[in-house]
Amino acid sequence: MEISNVKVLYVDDEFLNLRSFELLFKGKFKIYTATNGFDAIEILKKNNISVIISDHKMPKISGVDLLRQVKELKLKNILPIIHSGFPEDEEVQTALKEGTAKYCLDKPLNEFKLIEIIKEFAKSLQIQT
Amino acid sequence: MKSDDQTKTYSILIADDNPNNLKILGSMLEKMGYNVRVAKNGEQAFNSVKTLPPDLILLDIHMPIMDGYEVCKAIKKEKDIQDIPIIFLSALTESFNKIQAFKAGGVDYITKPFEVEEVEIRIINHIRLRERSLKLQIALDELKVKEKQLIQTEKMAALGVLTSGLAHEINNPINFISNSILALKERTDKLIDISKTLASTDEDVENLRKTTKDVPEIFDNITTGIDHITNIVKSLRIYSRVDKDQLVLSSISELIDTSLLILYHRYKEKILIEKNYNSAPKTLCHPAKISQVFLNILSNAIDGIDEANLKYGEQIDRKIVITTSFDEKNSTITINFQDNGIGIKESVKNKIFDPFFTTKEVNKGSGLGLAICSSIIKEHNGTISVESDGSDDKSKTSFTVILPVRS
Repeated sequence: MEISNVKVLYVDDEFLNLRSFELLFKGKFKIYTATNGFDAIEILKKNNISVIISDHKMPKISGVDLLRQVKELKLKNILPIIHSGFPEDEEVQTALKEGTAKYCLDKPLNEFKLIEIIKEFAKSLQIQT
Repeated sequence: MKSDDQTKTYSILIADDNPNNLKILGSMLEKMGYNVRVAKNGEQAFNSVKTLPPDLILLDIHMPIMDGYEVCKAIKKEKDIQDIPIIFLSALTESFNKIQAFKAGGVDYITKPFEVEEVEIRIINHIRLRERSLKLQIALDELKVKEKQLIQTEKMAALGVLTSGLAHEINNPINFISNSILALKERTDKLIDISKTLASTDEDVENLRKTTKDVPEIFDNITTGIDHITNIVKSLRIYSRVDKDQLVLSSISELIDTSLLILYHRYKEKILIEKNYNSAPKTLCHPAKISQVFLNILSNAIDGIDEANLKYGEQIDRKIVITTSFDEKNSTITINFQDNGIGIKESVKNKIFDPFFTTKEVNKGSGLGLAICSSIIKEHNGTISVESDGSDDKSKTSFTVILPVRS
């Protein structure tokens, strides 16, 4: 799969994080955004999302809780990534251990690392299909 | 007489210019089980006490060179021996003499001729009293250290709450600034490319060159700034977990860097920091506490260098050398901090880890810093030690912390 066709959902309660993400990655892959976990689940149900990147510290539903719900949806071929300024946070670490999140991306986001991860994932999708 | 634990033999110094008195009293006390030393005059008594402090002093008043009052006053002026109980033993029976003796610092007064039993009981009482007050003092000191430690822990916990909140709040803006800069850079690069194709005259090309030549540097500067803020926030993270009494797998060199970052404003232009970090595995520890130890040692090194600069004039080669090494055989990490500041006097070297010992001015140091460091390192089953080659300009002082690696 071409990386530009990969659908990436980015969840963060800070609007400027979403907007700057869109402006940085526009054209590189398909971007969906949500400011909270509820909206994120709705988007996931309706669109064929391949990658979900969620901030951890959010009001109402935390990033880790959101990714747990995503796991329960039993969607096929979805890559869950947690985005946090505190990678050593206990919840984040547990999520990584139990596989609720495949990666934890530090804040500020490393553009190249994210692209690398998505490329890798796109390649694995190709092999499967 | 034996102490409560039945192992210690007490020593008593008797000072009297009458050899007969010395003999009688001395043999009497020896029979009771005391170690007895004698002095024939006041001066001898004082010197003997200074060289080897006894547990109790029996002091005559009328003596040549220094009389009993003078000896007593002189002893009370010396910090190391002022707490030794002094019992006056004199043929003078006037209230005036007794008052003089107590004013000089005596704890008791026995008139000659004396009852053997009375002397013994008074000696036992005062030795016991002294011993108990010593124990109380130790308990009080320990309590004060614990209290200070507790306050420190509370402070760190409060700092933890503050920094984790702050770090989170700062992380978000850094994140979108960082993303936006990258997005802006991409577009700017494109804009420059387009402009190049549109530039038709030499003047256009020259204008374009002038306008755009600083652009990469401007972006680099912004990125450097973002990196700095990111590093500061990251290093504050270690304080966010102090409230949880939990061991965290930490890199020792990162903890040193955190401490250095916090002290940066104190050493930046005047002290060179030389780092010799050798690779070592991460180890389980309380990161904030260990970082506090490094902070304390480094802060003392900076103080020592400041003091040397003040006393001997500023020197450009003042530096702190930090060396870490890993001993695979014993599975320990050794961290050494060496500075060439004012140094530590041989006479105080053994006391610097004692609670409340300080050479700093009043209100500048509690004297607890290194005592707390020592207890933190003990808690981690490690050791902390100091070496110094004296106290003058550019004396080398070196603190060594050895920590066992736990994973």
